[in-house]
Amino acid sequence: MPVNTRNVIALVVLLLVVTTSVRAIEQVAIQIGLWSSEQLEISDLQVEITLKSAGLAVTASARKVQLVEPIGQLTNVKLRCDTLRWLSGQLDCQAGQLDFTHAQWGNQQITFKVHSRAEEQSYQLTLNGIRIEQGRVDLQANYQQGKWQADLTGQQIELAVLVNFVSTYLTEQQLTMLSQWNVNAKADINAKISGQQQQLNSADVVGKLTNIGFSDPSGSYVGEQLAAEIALQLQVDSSTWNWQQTLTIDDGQAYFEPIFLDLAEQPVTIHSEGRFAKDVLQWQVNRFGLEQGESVQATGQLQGKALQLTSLQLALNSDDVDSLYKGWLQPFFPGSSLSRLQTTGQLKADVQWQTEQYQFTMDLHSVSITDEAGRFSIEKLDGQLGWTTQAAVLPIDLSWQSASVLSLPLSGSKLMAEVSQNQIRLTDNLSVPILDGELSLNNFQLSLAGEQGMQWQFQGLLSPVSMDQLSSLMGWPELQGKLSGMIPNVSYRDEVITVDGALLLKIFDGTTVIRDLRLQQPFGSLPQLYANIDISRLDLQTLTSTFDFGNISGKIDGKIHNLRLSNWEPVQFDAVFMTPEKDPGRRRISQRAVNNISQVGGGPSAILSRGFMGLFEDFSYQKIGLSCRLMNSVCQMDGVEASEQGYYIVKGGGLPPWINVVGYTREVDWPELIARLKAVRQSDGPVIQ
Amino acid sequence: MRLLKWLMGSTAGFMLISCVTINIYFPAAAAEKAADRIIEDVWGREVQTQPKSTSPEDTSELKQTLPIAMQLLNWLVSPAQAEVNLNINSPAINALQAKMKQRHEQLHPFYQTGAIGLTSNGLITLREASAVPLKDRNTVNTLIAEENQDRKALYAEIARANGHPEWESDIQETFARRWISNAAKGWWFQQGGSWQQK
Repeated sequence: MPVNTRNVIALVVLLLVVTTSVRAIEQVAIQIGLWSSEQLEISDLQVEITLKSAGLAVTASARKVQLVEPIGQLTNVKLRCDTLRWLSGQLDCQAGQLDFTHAQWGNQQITFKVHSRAEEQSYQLTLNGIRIEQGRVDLQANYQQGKWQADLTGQQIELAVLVNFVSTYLTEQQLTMLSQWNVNAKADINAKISGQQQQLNSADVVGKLTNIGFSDPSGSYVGEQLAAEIALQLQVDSSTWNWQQTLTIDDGQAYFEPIFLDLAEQPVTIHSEGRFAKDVLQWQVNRFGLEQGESVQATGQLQGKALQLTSLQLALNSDDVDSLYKGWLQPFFPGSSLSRLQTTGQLKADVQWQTEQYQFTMDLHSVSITDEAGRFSIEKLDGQLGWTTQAAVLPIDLSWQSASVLSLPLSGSKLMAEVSQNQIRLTDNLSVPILDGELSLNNFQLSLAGEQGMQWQFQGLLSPVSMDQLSSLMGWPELQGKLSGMIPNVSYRDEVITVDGALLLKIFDGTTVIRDLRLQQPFGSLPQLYANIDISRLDLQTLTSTFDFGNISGKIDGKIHNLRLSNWEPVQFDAVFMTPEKDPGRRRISQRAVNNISQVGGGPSAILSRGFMGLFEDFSYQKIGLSCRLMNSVCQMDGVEASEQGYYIVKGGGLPPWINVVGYTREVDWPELIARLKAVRQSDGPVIQ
Repeated sequence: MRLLKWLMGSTAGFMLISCVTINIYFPAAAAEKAADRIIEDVWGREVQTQPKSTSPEDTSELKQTLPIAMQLLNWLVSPAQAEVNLNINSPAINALQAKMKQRHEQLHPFYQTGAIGLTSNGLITLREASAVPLKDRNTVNTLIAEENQDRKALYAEIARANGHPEWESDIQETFARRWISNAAKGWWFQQGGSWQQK
């Protein structure tokens, strides 16, 4: 704009120079067909000058005025000033009018005021009504001995038009960048700028922007229908720019990958104070502030070079963790176990970041986190949390009221630890109450090292947990007994939890040992559990009465090896259950149990060799056993030994009456088998044929 | 399958190395059939049914490259191979399939607009971010991430459930072809590094 202004002044002055030779006469009219100089070419110039009491009245018109680029050609140029004074180097026009047509600027009807004292190098120029498409710009400029000030007011200025307007002054690189970005806005703006010669000294800009829209080529940074108010103060000296800025955006929507901001719903205010060293391109924001309602208030300092942030220090406060999470955190974990959480509470955080190093501390107040899929939750988390990549040691002191993991409820507890160099180390043993038992964690260590992601491990002791509560929580039939374990090591790495050592399950008067327990992607879309289970000397009497299966007495051993649960359902295992060789106990089986076994073992294809079946309540047996090798939804079944055409599930023996149950079906559809088992549990009593 | 295993066991004595080589016979035709069944269920009836490129050719090519000692075994194996079927009926697979089917209702409009495209490795990706309204961007990112997790889990689970975890990549590759082949008109897919529209 100053360039335009200067040229307009030059034009005015030049036109006035033309009139000097005719001063003594009351009215003069001049017509010039073509006026041409190095920087100017005027076609069909007509000048009329009338002498009036207030001064000179000048009217000039030209069909075409060719000025140097970037202004170029003006057509239908009309210049009028009714009160021109021109005395000993002083030139004044109190109210002038300049009309012209320009290819880019359209038809312009500008009123102007000029006050010029060439000797003192003092010029004042006011231009009103410069039209930029639908918008309008007024300019008031002063120039005195190399110093200048300008007051620019624009109303309803379309940014895209402005870009067009100034595009001739931009470099090719800037133009390419601009053409990739789709930017639009309508601005009411007031700018007070001052400077010296070519140098800008200060700027004070206040503006109101509406209908702001922008988008980069990939659509990663997009704004739609934004409305903003901006205030910017800038002081410039030879090497440094100092600024203070406030920006409030209170309408529209924006997306800065991956953050989406609904500014109509939650306005954002950003303010900053900083300096920019233009020769080394270094900048520093001494005071930065960002506010978004209750969800987040941040203050801090930033430093950087060119477009690169080099260090950051932020103090964050959120009175509404839920909106902080939804707006600013959740988008960073799409599809992970942290992507669908319900959160409440308040927090304060301090973040320090430098290239490749960071540290944060967080104060939590009554923060609750619940996974929408119900995989985990933690209630009323309080205390201090931190993380650092550096050698400094930060304390962690957290307590919570209750928690749950995979529908297993955990009572409240307290975690005391230290963080240093990407690692957490417990300073005190952590005990997590589970129902009536407790899991004690020793030597818990967690690290977040680079590409390997999160890893943790601990040694633990599980003190007895009652199975009756646990089984009802898991939706199993109610089991009596205790689960406990010595766990030499539990580790998590590459999304797999591995439990070394054994979990001991004391149920049905026997022992069940779970080994080689491995859990892949526990919170993933298809958790996989692997284990080997060995069962020793379960009491069938207790077991059958628990499951209401009829009555069987005796002991049983078993193993379920290569067990795989996919999404917590068994899909693969090699299972064998068999009467132990040693000390099998008193072995009797009731009619109802026999019938149930025959139903499960193959329904109508199982044959009972029952002798005087109807007469006896129960029978003695020598061995009972069944094996199932599950694979691909098919259970390969076998019994205690081969019979002529099938296999014995119950082999009679001992004192009569005794009984054989023989299975013939070797391949049983697993879902069907489960259905049969369920049917048996629901059936009322024996059906003896 | 059982015969195959039995054969593998009984011939193990003199063909120890060949036993390992047997695993080459990924049941491509069965995998395609299985993939199509799942895809039809997840995407619904809208998808096009196209003639399949079955793959006996693939396996016969492999056969010819095998040493002569193997030919006998191959001949023995082939009847068993014909029986090979991929089971896709485990509770885990059904659960994944149901989740994907439900999610498809939400993803469908974004396939239609070209915002989401099918990748050449059997997953999906955000192809044209600007076709998604700003407020839906993160929902779509989440849907894509979740869909891809389920798809990867599905490929792995089919392989595991059929007793061949090492088939995972073959299954993924089969699905990649079948998703694209079954895609509705106008949907975008990746081929040879560039995007194409059906």
